[in-house]
Amino acid sequence: MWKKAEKQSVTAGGDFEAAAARVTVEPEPADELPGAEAEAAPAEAFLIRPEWANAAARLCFLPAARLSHPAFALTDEEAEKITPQFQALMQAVSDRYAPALLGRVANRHPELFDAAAALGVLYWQKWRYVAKLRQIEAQQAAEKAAAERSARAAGQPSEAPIPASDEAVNVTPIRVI
Amino acid sequence: MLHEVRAVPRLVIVDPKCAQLVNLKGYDHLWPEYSAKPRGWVGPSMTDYFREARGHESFRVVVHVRDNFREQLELLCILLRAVGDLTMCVDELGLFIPSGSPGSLPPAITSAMISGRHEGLRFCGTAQRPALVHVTARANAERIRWYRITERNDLDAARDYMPGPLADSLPRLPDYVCVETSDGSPAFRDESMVGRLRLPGASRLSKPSQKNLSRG
Repeated sequence: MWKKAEKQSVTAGGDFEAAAARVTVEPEPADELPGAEAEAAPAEAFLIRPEWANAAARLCFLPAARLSHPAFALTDEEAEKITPQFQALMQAVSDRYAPALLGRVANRHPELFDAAAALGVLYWQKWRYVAKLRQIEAQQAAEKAAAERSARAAGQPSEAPIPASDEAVNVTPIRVI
Repeated sequence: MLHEVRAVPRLVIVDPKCAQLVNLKGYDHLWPEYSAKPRGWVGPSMTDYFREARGHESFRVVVHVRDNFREQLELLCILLRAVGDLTMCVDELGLFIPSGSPGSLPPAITSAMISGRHEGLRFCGTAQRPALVHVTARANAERIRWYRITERNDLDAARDYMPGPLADSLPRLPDYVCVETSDGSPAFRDESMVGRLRLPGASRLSKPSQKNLSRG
């Protein structure tokens, strides 16, 4: 049905290409489709290891073993037996229940969520700080003990300088985010 | 409407019903796929067609629109103004530009209706309920053909365009008889269409209750 026009339309040219660009969207690449994300998700999923499930199973019986009787503690054989069920449960919690719960809390109680997140970050920083502090203190105690031993062996009092308590700790203070 | 534009060489019909016009012979048919986010037509089928069509002196195409009527009409106005020198016919105009405040009309449609003729874009539309068509379309129409209407709000809308006796006669108009109103001449009763509809299926397509809005 086409008949070649003798003259182009008055607005033909660059205007048409600009209009065409305005009205057209490119189809999304295959790797950005939801199906592709779903396929890529398992590779990035957080997988629960069997040893974590084993430890969690033992942890469940720890209070009873401490408070009631040590025989409540799981043996290795019992722990191995219940590990697959615990691993499946913990994987489900990690994949479904925990994200849903966190999402609900974050949406309904944003202040609580923010405070809990800030507390978690602060606690983690404190834990690293204290761990480093303990390491230094243990090192100083070992050095002091070694100095005392050598002094005792030489029959002289120890001359090894013992740093003051403030100077003993030379750890970078924590920085709260 | 098809009778009205039977001699138009460069014609785009916008079909929201996707029923009778799907099998219209002698026309190309386009089925654009609309994406709401990001906004636009997916794929190059529409732009490829009109990129080729704009260089031809004659083309006739039906664009079948199934959803997002107003948004897709806006895209069509943007594209067809760039094509130029064509007539765009919109079936059931009320679906695309329902009545509302003047600001509720998308800018591309407003400018196509107000200044489209300067860019060679002629606009034609039909509606079964004139009162449900946006007032900008009615106010800018060069010519309106009022066929039989009976609803009170539609009759009230008609009274703004024609003398009272003619408006009162609208509910009793016979088939294919209309009252034509235009900018340049007084409203009159037009019976010239009686017996002249020869297009296949036109008797079904041109319902007596439909109203033609045309400008150009």
